[in-house]
Amino acid sequence: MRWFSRFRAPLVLAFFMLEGAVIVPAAAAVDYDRAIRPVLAARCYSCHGPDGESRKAGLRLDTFAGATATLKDGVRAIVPGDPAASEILARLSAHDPEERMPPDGREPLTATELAAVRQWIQEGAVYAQPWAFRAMDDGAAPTVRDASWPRSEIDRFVLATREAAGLAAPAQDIDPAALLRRASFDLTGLPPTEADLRAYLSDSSEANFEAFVDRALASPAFGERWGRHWLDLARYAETLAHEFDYEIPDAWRYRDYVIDCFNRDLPPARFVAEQLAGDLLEPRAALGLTNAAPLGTAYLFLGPATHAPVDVRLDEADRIAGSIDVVGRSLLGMTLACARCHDHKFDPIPTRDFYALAGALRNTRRVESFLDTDPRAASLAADATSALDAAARVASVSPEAHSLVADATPGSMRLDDASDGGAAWDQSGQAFAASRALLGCSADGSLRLAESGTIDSARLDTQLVGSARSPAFGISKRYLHLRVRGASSWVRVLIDNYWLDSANALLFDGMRRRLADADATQATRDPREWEWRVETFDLARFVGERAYVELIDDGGGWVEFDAMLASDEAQPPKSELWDIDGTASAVDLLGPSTNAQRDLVVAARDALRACTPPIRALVAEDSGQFDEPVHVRGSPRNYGEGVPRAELSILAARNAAAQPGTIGSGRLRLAGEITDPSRPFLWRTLANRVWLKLFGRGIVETPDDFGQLGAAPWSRELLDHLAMKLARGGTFKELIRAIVLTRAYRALGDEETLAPTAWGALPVRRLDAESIRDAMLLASGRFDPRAGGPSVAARLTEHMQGRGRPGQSGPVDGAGRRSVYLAVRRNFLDPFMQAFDQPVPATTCGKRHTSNVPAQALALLNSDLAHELAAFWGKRLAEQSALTDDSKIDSMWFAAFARAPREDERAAAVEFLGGERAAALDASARDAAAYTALAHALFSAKEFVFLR
Amino acid sequence: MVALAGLFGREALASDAGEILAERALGATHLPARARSVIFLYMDGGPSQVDTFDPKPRLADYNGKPFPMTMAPTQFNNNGNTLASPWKFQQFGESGLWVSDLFPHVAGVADELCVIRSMTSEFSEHTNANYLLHTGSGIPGRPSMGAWCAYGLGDENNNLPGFVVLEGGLIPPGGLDCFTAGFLPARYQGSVMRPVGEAIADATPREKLEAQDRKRQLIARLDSAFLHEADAEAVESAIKNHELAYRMQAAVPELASLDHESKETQALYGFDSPDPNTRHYARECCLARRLVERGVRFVEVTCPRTIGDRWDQHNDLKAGHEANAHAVDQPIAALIRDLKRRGLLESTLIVWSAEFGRTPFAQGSNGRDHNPFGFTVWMAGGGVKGGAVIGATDEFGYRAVENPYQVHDLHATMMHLLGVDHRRLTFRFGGRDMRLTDVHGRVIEGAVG
Repeated sequence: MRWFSRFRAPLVLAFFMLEGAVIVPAAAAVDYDRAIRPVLAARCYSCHGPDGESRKAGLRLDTFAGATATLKDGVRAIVPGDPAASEILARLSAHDPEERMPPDGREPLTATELAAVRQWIQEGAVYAQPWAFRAMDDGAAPTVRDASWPRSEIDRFVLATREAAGLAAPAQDIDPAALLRRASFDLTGLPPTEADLRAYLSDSSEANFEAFVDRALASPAFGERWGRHWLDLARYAETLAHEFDYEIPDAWRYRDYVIDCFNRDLPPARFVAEQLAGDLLEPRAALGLTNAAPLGTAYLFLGPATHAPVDVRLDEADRIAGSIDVVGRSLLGMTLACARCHDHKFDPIPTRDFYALAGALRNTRRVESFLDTDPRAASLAADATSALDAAARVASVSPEAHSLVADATPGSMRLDDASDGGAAWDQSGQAFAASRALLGCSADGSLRLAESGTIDSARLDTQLVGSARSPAFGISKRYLHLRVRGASSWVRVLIDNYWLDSANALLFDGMRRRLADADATQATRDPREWEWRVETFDLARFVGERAYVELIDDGGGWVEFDAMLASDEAQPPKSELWDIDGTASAVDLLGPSTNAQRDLVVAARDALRACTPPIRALVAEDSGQFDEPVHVRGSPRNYGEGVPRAELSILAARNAAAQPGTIGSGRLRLAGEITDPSRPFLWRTLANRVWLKLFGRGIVETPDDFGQLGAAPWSRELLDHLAMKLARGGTFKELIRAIVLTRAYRALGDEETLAPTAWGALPVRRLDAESIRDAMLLASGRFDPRAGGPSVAARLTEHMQGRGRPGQSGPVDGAGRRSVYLAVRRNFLDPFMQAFDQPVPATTCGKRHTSNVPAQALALLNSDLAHELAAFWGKRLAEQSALTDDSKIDSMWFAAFARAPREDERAAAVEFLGGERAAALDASARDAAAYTALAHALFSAKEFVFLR
Repeated sequence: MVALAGLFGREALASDAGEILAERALGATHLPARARSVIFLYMDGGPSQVDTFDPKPRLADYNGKPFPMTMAPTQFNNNGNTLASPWKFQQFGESGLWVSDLFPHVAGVADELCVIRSMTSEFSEHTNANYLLHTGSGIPGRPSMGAWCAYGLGDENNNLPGFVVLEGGLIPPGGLDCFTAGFLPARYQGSVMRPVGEAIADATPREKLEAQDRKRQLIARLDSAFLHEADAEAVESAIKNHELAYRMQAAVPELASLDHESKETQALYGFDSPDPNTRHYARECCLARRLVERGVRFVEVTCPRTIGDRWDQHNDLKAGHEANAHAVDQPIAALIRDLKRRGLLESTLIVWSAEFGRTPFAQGSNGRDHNPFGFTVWMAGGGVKGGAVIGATDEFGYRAVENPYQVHDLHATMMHLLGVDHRRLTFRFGGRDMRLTDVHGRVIEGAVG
C-alpha cells in the first residue's frame, strides 16, 4: 500500500484534484490493463478463468466469448454496452452475501472497481490481449512539453509518463558526489575510490562522468555485481538443503562463469541460450576451457534435492517442477509452474505447456562432466584413433564376430551391446574417444588387439580420464546385467536421473559400484588379459522407470563395457553366451610395417598426456527423446494425453513453417524460441530487470511475473523501447550505459512526487547485503580483490546448528573476499546477509525485499564481522602516525560516505576521538581503540547503508 | 488488500507518535481469536502413535508374526514382522483418555488434550515431511507456519521477534530452512534462541554500555543530519529501528534469565531432574511460557539430544522412546499446568506434533520405520476441546481410516484458533496469492472447543 500510505495530506488533495480535473477526464476510456484485467484476474478467475476443470457455473470471464455467452439459466454475465443487462454487475454488487460474488465471505469489490467494470461494459467490454503476450512496439520516443530536461530518447519516454500524470520533470539533479556514489554502487557494487571522487569533484563534466562509467563497466567488479543479480534468478546455492545439506559439486564454477559472461558482455541471446542448452551450442572458449558454454546449464540443476526418496519418480517430477519455475520466471516472466496440476488459473498457459517443458527436462540429465582445458586434447585423441585405425589396416586386423546372444536366454532382453563402440553413448573427457579402434595401445607403447564392440577408457591410455553414458532406456525387467571389466573406476545405474546416491546410498545402495582398485600385479598386466565380470543390479522397485548407465574413469584406473541385458533372473547368463569370442586376428601386428603407425599413436598419446587435464563441472546433457504425457492433477502416477516435448504454445511461431524442429531433448529448440527477437517475453523481462536494478523500482513492479496477477508496466512504451534494444542485439553493458547516462538516472529523488503510473526517482535506496558488507571490507582496508575460485567457507555461529553443519567455520571476515565469493549453504545461510535480505535460494528472486528492521541495527552494532572490521580499520589508521586526525577523518568520510566531512561533523568526530582516547584503558593502544570506535560508529550511520 | 500490501514489500513505518507500528498484514482477525500465541512442541523424528496415544491391542495378537496388511514402501525397505507395543496403556482423567506408560506426567493433564489419531503426511522421508509440517510444502524455501503467523498477526512486543525457535540441541532434519521466512520479508523468519550462551544472535553488546552510548550519540548526530538532507521515510524508520535495537539488547537478557522463577516453578518443570535432557527441555518449556507471556506470537520448541537420534527409532525402540519421552514428559505437563494457573492456557495454543509416525511393524527386529499414513498429534489450550479424541487408525494403527486429516488441516485449525481464516491470509508471490495451506486445508471442527 506504499503509494497510498506515502502521500501526505496536501499531496493527496493535489493528486485527486489533478485526477478529477485534468488528467482523467470523465470521458476517458477505462484502462483495461490497469483497471479491469487485474480485478477480474484476482477476484474471478480462480473459478471463472482459463482452467476448465475448476470452472464454476460454466462461466468463463477471461475471454469475450465466454463472458458474453448465454448461460444455462438464460442470463449473460456481460452484455457489451448494456450494464443493466449484465448479470455480473448484479452479482458483484449484490447486498445479500449469498448472492454476492466473490462468494464465501470474501471481500466485495470496491466502489471504484465496480464503477470501472460498469464503465468498461458500457464501452463495449473490449478484451485486450494480456499486455505481456502482445508483440513489442517499436514506437518512436514521444514528444514532451519540457524539451529542456531530456538528454536521450529514454528520458523522453520517462518524462512523458510524468507529464501525462500532471507532474513536471524532476526539479533537481543530484550533486556530483552522490551521483558518483550511486553509479559506482550500481555498476560495481562498490563505493568510488577517493581518487575517483576527488578527480570528478574537481571537474564534474559530462565527459568525466562518461569516462568513470566506462571504467566501471570495464572493471572486473562489474561482473561481480551484475553476475550476482543473475545468481538471484538462478536460485544459486552450493548445497542441496534437506537433511544433510550435501554440496552441489563445483557449483562455484557456475558463479565464475556468470561473472565472466557479464564481464565479457556476452550477447544476452547467447547467454540465455547457454543457460538452457550450452552443451548443444557451438563451442565457446573461455575461463581456460575449450568450451565454457556447457557451464551455463548448471542453471537447471541448482535447486535443492533430497536423498533416498521413497518415490523416485515423484522426486524427479518435483525437481523438474522446480527448474520449470525458474525457467518460467527468470526468462519469460511467466509462472509456468502454476500449470503443473491444471491449466494456469489466470494466464493463458495450458498445462500442456508445463509438460512440454517437463518433457525437455526429463530427457536431460545432470552430469558431472569432464571439460577439456587444452585445445589440443580432442584433436590429439582423434589423431591417435586414426593412427590406431591405420595400424589395424596395415596389420589386416579383422574384427571379431562379436555378438551378444543373450536373446537366446529365455526371459532376457538385450539392451545394448556396444557393437558400434558406443556411438549412441555420450562421453566427456578423452578417455573413451578411441573405443571403436580395433587396436589398443599398451602402457609400454606396443600395440595390442582390442576387443571390438566395447566402450573402453583404456584403449589409448589408462591415464586419460572421462565418462560415458548410455542412452536412457525403460526398465522392463527386474534385473540388469552389465558385462564389464576394469579397475579403480565406477559403473553406475541412474534411475529417473536420481544422482544423490553418490552422497548417500540408502535405498539406492549398490547402484554405484567401484570396480576393484588395481593391485600391484594387476596393474602391470595388459588390460586385455583381465577377466570380464558381470555386475547385476536388482531393480525390482524401479520397473517401469527410466534409467541409464554411466561409466566413470576419474583417474588411476580404467573401465571397459561390453554389453548389458535385462532379465527376470538374478543369475546372469553364462559367460560364453555373452560373446562369441575371437576370430580376431592380425597378420602383422608386431612387424615393421606397423611401426610407423605405432609411433604416431605413441606420439599422440604422449602429447595427450602432456595436455593440461580436464576439469569436472556440473552440466546438462541430452539423454533421450521421449515425450512426456500430462500428469493428471500433477501426479506422475496418473498419465493423461501425450505432449510433444519442447513445444510450448506460448512460444509458438506465428508462421508454423518457421518453427524449428525438435532434436533430442528439445532444449535447443527452446533456447532458440525463447531468444527469438520477435518473441517478447525474454526481452521485456531482461530490460525490466536492468531498469529495476538501476532505479530500485521496475517498470513492471513484479519482475518475475508479467502475468495477470502481476503488475502492469507504468510505461509499456518505455519497456518495449528498452526491450527492442536487447532484441536487436544490444548487450547488457550497452543498455546499462544508456540508462546510467540519462537525465533520469541523475535526478534527485523526491518522495512527494512518486505516483503509481509515472516514473519517479526514489529519494533513497538501501544498499543490498553484498554492497554493505563489501563496502565495510573496502573501507576497513581488509578488502581482497581476488576474483573467482572455490568459495570461502561459510561462517558458522553458535546459532547455526543442524545436520550437515561443516566441521569448521569459515573466517569471520570471509578472508576479505567480496560477498559473491562466500559459500552459500542452504541450511546455513549467512545471518548478516540474511538480515539485509539476501534472498533464500529457493527459486527465482528478481526483486529483493528491502526490509527495515532492528535486526539490521543489531548486526551492525554487535556482529563479530562489524567489530572485527572496525578493529582492522582502527588499527590501520592508528599506525599511520604521520597523518593528522583531520586527514584521517577526511579519509574515513570518503571511504564511508564518498564525500568530505562537513565542519560540524569533523568537530563531532574530533570530540568523539578525544572521549575515546580518554576512556581507553590500554595507553599503548589508545589511538587504535579510538579509531576502532569511530569506524564502528560509521558502519552504523544510516548514510553508510543508504544510497541517495 | 493483504496481497497488495505484500506485493510492494512492507516496510516498518514510523508513526507520528514516534513508535514503530506493530507490523501485521491483517488489520483485524477474520474471526474472534481463541488463542493469542502458539507453542509448537516439535517431536523430532516421529514418535510412534501405537506406543503413545493410540493403543492397538490387536498388535499383541500378531506380535512376531507377518504383518497382516499390505505394506507400502518404507524409507529403509527393511520391513520385519508385526511389533506389539512394549508399553501399557491406561485411561486417565474424567475423559478417560488413553495414554501409554511413556507419558506419566502428561497423563496427569489428559483432560486438557485433544488427541487427533488420524493425521497423515505426504512423505515417508524426514526432510520433505518436515518442510511440509513446517511450511505446508514438501520443498525447502517456503515460509514457516511461525513466519505466517508473525506476518499475519504481527507481534505484541516490539522488543522481541514474533517467531522464536527454542533450540533444544536438535535442529530438525531440513535444517534452519524449516524456520525460514521464504518469500515473506526476512523479518518474519524464526529467530533461533538458545537456552545457554548468547540467547539471540547479535543481541548482546560486545562492549561496555558506556562505550556503546558514546557511539550512539555520535551516530544520532550523523543520522539527524542525513535525515534532514535525504528526507525519506526509509531513513526515518532505520533510525527508529536503531533505537529499538538498543531496547532489545535489554529485553533479551531479562527474558532469558530463569533465576527469578520460583523454586516451586523450577521444580514443577524439572529443573532439578537427574536426567540432563529433562533439565534442558524444562528450561525450554519455561522459556516458551516467558515468551508467550511477553507477547511473542509463535514459539517452536525443538527436542534435546537424548541418546543421539531424536524420536527416530529405526532400531531399539524401547530404549530410544523411553529416553525421548523422559526428556519431554515432565516439562510438557508442567508447561500446561503453569500456563493454566497463570490464566494463559486459554490464550495459548499448544501443539504436539512430529512430521510423521512410525510403522506398527518392525524395522529389523526391534525398531520401527517412518509412517506417514496415520499418526497422532495433539493440541491443548487456546480454544481446543480438552479430553477429546478425533479420528482413528485401522485396528493395527497403520493407516488413518476414520476422519483422516492432512497437515494442511492442522495448519488451518491452528490459524482458525488464532482468529485467521487460512484461505484469506495470503502473500502475492510468483503469480499467486500464496498461503500456508496452499489450496488445501479444512478446520478440524471437532477439535475446536
